[in-house]
This record gives sequence, C-alpha cells and structure tokens, in this order.
Amino acid sequence: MSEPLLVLDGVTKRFARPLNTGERIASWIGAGPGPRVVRAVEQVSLTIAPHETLALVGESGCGKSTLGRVAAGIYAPDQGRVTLAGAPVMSTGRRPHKITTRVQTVFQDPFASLDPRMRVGTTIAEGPIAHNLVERADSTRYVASWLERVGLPADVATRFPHQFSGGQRQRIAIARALAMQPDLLICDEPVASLDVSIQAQVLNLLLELRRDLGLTCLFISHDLGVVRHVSDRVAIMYLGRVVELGTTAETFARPIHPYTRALLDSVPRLARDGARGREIKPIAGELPSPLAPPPGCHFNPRCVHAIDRCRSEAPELLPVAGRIAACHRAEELLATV
Amino acid sequence: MAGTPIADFWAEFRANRVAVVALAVVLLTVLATLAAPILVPQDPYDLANLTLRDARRPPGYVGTAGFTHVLGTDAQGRDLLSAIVYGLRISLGMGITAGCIAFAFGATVGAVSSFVGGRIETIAMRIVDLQLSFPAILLALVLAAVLGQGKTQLLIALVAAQYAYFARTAHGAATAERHKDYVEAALSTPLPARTVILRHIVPNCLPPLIVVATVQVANSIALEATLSFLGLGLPPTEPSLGMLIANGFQYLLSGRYWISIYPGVALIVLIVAINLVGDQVRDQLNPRLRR
Amino acid sequence: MSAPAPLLEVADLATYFDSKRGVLKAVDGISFTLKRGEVMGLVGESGSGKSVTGFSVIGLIDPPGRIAAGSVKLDGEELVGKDAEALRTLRGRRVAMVFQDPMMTLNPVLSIGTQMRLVLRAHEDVSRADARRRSIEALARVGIPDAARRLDDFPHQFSGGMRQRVAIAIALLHRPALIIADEPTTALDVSIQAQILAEMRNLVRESGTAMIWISHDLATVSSIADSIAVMYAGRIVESGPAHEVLGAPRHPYTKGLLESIPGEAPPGSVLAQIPGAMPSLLALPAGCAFRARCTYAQDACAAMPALAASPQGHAVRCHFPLEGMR
Repeated sequence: MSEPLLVLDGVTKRFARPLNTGERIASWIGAGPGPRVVRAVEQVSLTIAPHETLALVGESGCGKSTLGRVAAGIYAPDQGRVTLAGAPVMSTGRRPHKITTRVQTVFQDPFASLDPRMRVGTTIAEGPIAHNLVERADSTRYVASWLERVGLPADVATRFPHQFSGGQRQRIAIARALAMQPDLLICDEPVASLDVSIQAQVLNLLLELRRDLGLTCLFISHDLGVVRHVSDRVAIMYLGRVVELGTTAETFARPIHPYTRALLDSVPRLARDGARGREIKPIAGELPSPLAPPPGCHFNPRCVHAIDRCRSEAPELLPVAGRIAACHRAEELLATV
Repeated sequence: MAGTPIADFWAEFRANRVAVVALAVVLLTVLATLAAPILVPQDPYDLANLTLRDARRPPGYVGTAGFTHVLGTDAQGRDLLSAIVYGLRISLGMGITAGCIAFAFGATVGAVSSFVGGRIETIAMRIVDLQLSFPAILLALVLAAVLGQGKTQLLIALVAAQYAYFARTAHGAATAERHKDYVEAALSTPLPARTVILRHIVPNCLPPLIVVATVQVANSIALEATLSFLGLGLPPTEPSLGMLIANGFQYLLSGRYWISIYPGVALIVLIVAINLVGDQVRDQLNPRLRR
Repeated sequence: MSAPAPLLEVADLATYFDSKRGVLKAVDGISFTLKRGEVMGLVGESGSGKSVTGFSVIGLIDPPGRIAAGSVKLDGEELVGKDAEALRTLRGRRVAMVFQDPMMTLNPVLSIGTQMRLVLRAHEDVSRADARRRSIEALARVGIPDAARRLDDFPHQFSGGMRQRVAIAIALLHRPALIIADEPTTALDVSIQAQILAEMRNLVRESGTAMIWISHDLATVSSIADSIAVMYAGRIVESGPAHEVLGAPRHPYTKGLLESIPGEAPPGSVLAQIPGAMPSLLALPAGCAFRARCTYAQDACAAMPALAASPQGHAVRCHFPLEGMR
C-alpha cells in the first residue's frame, strides 16, 4: 500500500457546554453539575490512501461531522494529530488555524454554505486569488472553466446564490472547493438536502470529477445507499468512536460489529415486488446522550449480543478477518454471518 | 426577479408611496442645505448683516436689506428662512456625522468583540449593556455639560450616547453570522480572519445596522436639538434648529409664534421623514416581517 | 357490483396560492380514493404538491392558499366548503395528522399527560382517571417505555424519536379512521426511523386505520404502502398498487426516480439521472409538465395527457407509457 495521504492519529475532540447562570450558582454552592463535556470524537485514528474514498457513516451524534471538520482544518483536535502528506493541516498555538489549501470541503446545505451577498464568481475566485493559484486578471476565465467543469454556464458567475436551485448551488459549492486544486475533498453529506432526482446528478458529477482529477475523498453520510455507491472503504462510527472499518463491499456483505449489522438491517430497502417481505428489523432502544455515554462498549445497552465484559471494558479496534472492529465478541460473531 | 440585490431592494422600496415621498423630503433637505448659500437671501451667521431694526418681524415683512422675510425674523433680526436652512444644515451635518462615527465605532466594537470572544467580549458588552440601561439623553447631557460648548464636544457627546446601539446590534448579528456555514467555508479555504470579517461577516451584518443607522441619525438630530435648546449645544452665533426654537420660546406667548414654530416644524418634518424611510428599510430587511 | 364505499374520495382537487408573482398551482386537479385500512404512499419531490394535498384533504389551507376546485368526501360526506369549526371537530376525531416536526402538534409548555387529556376531552366526556389510563395505553402502544411515569414529562424531555412517538400516540387517541402522515420519519435517524416505521405499520394494521403516508423516499414508502401515487408538479402522474408502480413503472418520471436511487445500481457506476429540474409552479408549460426532462417526449406531449387506468387499477398520465419495465 502506498503512503497514506491523510493521517488522523488518535484524534479526540471535546465540546464543553457552558453552564447557564442557574447551574453556575448551583455549582458554587456545591450542588450543581460540573462542566458538561461532550466527547464528540474519541481517540480516532484513520488513514486515507491517495485516490481512495473513505466514507464515515453513523447516526446523529456519532461524531462523523465533527471528525470531518477536524480533518478539514475547521476544528483543532484536543488531542492527536492530523497530517496531509506528512504536513500538519492546522497550525499549533493558542489560536490554531488551517495552514494547508490541499484539503477542501463541500458542505451539506448549499443554501447556507454560499455567502448570500457575494456574487458566485467572486465566491469561487477569492480563495484561488488569495493563495496565488490564479492571477486576478485571469480569474474570470479560471472561474468560467471550473463552472463549466461542474456543468454550469459561465454567466452564472455574475449572479447571486438566491437565483439558483439547491442542485445548482451545490454545483457552485463543488466548483469553489475544486478551484483551490485540493488533493483531498471532504464531502459532508453533499446530497442529503437535495431531491432524489437531483441527488443522482450531483453524485454522478462527484464521481466523474473524482476520477478525472484523481481526487482523494472523505465522504460523510448517513445514507448507506449513497455510501455503498461511492466509497472504497467505510468507517462506521457510534458515539464518537469508530466501531468498524473495512472495504465497503466486505463490510456491507459481511458486517462484523453488531451495530453495523443492526444499521444495515434498519435501512428500508426498495421492495420493488411490493412484497414488503423483507421486514425491517429495527435496533431496540435509543441513541444514548453523548453527554453521558454508557460505560464499556457504548453500544452495549442496545446490543443483543452484549455480555458482562461489554458493560465494563471498552473494546479496542482490532483486526478481524482483514478488517478492524471494536467488539469483544467479533471473532465469535464473524462465524455466525 | 433577476438583478442585483440593490435593484431588487429599490423595486420593493418604490412600491411604498409614503416612503418614497419621505425619501424625497430627506434628499431635498440635504440638497437644500448643501446649496444653502445660493438658495437663501441672507447669511444668518454674518453678524454684519443683522440689524435689530428688523428683529422679531412677522412673515412677509420687507426688511432694510430690501428683500422679503418670508417666514419673518428672529430676535436678532435674522431672516428666519435663512436661519432655518442653515440650522438644518448644522442639524443634518451633526446628525449624519455623529451617526457615521457611532456606526463605525460601535460596529467595530461589536464585531471585533464577537470575533475575539473571551474576556474582552464580556467586558465590552457589559459596558454597552450598562450604557443602554440609561437614557441616551442623560449621558449626552452630562457629557455636554462637562465638555463644554463646541462642535467637537457636541460630536463626542452624541457619539458616546449612541454607539452602544450599533455595538449591540453588530455584536448580535456578527455572532449569528460567524457560525454559519459560509463563514466556516471561507475560514476553511483558508482565508485570513481579517478577509473573512471584512468581506463576509460585515456585509451580512449590514442590514440590521443600516436600520439602526437611519433611526439613530434621526435620534442624533433630535438629541442635538435638545442639547441646543437647553443651551448645551453649539455657540449662539451659529444657531442650530434647537437654539432657534429656544430663542423664540420666550416670545411664543406674546404672539410672535413664528420664531419657534417654523424651526420646530422643519425639525419635525425632517425627523418624521427619516423615520418613515427607516421603517420601510427595516420592513424590507427584516426577514421575520416578510411574507 | 356492490364494492364497499371508499373511506376517502378525492376528486379533481385543486389548491392554488395567490402570490405577488401570480397564481401558484400547488395542486392542480388530483383524484384518488382510499379504502378503509388502506395505506397509500404519496410520493414526490419538493414542490410536487404532496404535502399541500395532505393539508387540503383536512382543510388546513390558510390564505393566501385556497381550494380552488374539487371535492373531498370522507365516508361520503363532503368536506370542501365546510366551516372551520366543523373541520376542527373532524380533525381531532376522524382524521389525524402526523407531521415531520412533532413540535407542530406538541405544546412545549404543557406536560404530555395534560396535552393528551385535553385532546381526549375535546371530543369525549372522559374522567381524569380514564384520560390518564387511556393516555398511558396510547403511549405504551407506540413503544414508549415506562409510559406511566413519562406522562408527567414535557416535550423537551423526550428525544426526537420519542417525541415523534408521542405525536403519533396523540394522533391515535380517538382511533381515527384516517391518518395523514407528512414525512413522519424524515428528520429521524436510520435506526429510529426503522423502529417507527415498523410500529406504524403494525398500528394501522391492528386498528384498521387508513393512512396517507407522504414522503420523498421511495424505499420507506415501499416498506409500508399498499398503493402508491407519484406526484409531479401538482399532478398525479402514476398511481396503483405498490408492487405494480414500483415493479413495473409506466411513467418515465417514476422509472427515472427508481433508477436514480443509489444502492440499486452497481457501486461506482454512473447513476441513471433525470436531467434538469422541476419547472416553476408559477410558469408551468402547457401539456405534460415532465416533457422538458423526458427522454421519450414527442410532439404529442405538448397536450396534457389524461390519467388512464388499467383494469388492475394501475393509472398513468402519459401519452407513451412504458410497458412492463422490470
């Protein structure tokens, strides 16, 4: 295997919810709760090889978006390191900021990710101009070439975001990211807010651009159908931890971790014969609060295979049959697939 | 609906007749005050032009200088129309200047404290809150009394009394904007923080600030008039509208109504017109009032 | 020929919104019937008119919207033109609605128990103790653990999925004949969506309640609906038994939607995509609204095709319907 492009090494990201006035008074007199800390991402290590697409999958609160933002250089990790081709993504120090231009992000909501008061052309051009990827005098042509690349006419550049539909805006956001000539493209739920018929257009565009430009992708999604379609490898996350990591084909065909299995079973699949025969088998229970995750394996309260050890000891991510999974009973369970 | 946001904005503004008339009044006033030296018959600040023989004459009186005093004369024998136009010039000039300085200073305080955060934000915003809990007139009165008369002193008093409104608004808007995706997108490009603030956050904070600005210009004018009326404003040799009203006040009961009433009417018309424009701007910029 | 009378009969329903820029024809002449206990999936993209259809059926259209034409009959009783009071009575009792955002039905400042009691007493004379007992039953039925204790909790103390369950429990309190569910699982996580989907399916099956399940997600619809109606630009373009519509789509739009779902195609392959986007409802072209995006379109499509049904009840609004695509 070639040198990885992106390395996430032991990344932890916490968010502290500040106490409100009442709680602060309560904690002064010793009755209140301590500061509430959410471990959005806990000790996650991942690598992405050049030209590979890794998908991060999980439900809300699993930390996939936070991890994506750490990789994108938007959040600085509290622990751990993020490097791109050996160089750090963010500076260190009191106010860390992103120092590489080789990672770019496409955000979920194209209605929020484009500055409503800036012309589309200016939005696309400002990054490349600021980083000397293009001369200001050439920027119009440069922007036009990227707009064409994402299937939009050049005159789009002089208009404002509100004049476009969701699908067109997402194309503009993709053009903005690609105009920075990144090696790694982070796609944070890029099609989740689009209509079904538009989703396919944008997914096809992303696949085409990935191939033509030789991009490496970190693809964040809750939609297992989309993930299966676009990714080479997949990392399943649950409450801030990666619970399973492997090639997409194998993971979908023979999931190891009970959560992965349950997640795959939960997805309603199109029953075209109308039999509705494949009954959905929902996971019991709710997602626990990330403020107070259960001890041991975070999934143990909902897991049908949980044993005493799962309730006390957090499983490590260990290799199992060419993949890695964090489950005490991985070997046993693999035999039952 | 294609077009720039400004073109769309104007198209919507035009639909409200009252606001258009009010805007015309404001613009005409501005033009008239700019062209004051050629428009009015007399320079009211040149004491050599004044003679007490013309003092307190009613509207329509033909004075010693040979022209008709359309609105009469004041206690010093000034042509009242000239004095009002020049007074408006001072009022508008002070109001707009104070408004602009308060805008720039307040918006900077608000936006920067929102972006810097931490203790600086807390301290700056608590000072602003403290100040907002007093009526602006109180602070302006105290400052004007302490600093004394003069244009600079008055400007300081007006700005100090009003920047807090801008700071509060800018802080709220900037805090809301900086967590939006487009700011994150710009920061993750990466663009320098300064560029992100100036090119993305500030333009998106402008709508609420513009609303505050129109209201505050009107308030500045009223505040200046109040201070001048109380004798704390500009020197009496250059009477602003407030001082004209104050000067005429003692003659009101003796039937010489014009010395107070006409400057008063001019002041009210100007303030109401600015507020009507401001209302329409607010309605258009506030998404919650939209259908 | 004495087929049982349908529960709901919607005929030529049209709902328009008057706007500054003209009349927006959100729903423009749709007809369908719903049998007792039948679950109909109403599918479409944003702007197709599927939600407005749901709101129109129960008279929840406020100005600038108006029901411009058509009739809605529940058990043979005409609802269009009824006064607000009569419709309100009907909504609580015989028809219930479940929204994408459960806070549309829940009051944030009242405990769940109080809200359920108020809903019960609005239409029935029940004692406090009876109301409590029935509320607990209803909550337990939708899978809320420890229902008796949770009755005193406020909506914000429930998670998103639990809140949606409470909204469903309230909708079921009066054992309505019809539930209109507007994207009830769209905002939920996959595992919670699966739970609610499974529970809703069992609930309507047990109680014999008919349901209109409005969704953009064909996969979800396919796992719960007996029949499916596909909407495009304010009209039904295809309808019929679920297995017919999904298994052998006859309208090019339905076929395009089905083929553009990732997960059906081989990984990494180019997904079949429908080019373009839905036309503005303010300026719909004459004829078939899908014409501009359709690969099969011909000159004849400039005239509006009629919704023609097969003997099996599979109807399609197309001049050139596809034959048995599988």
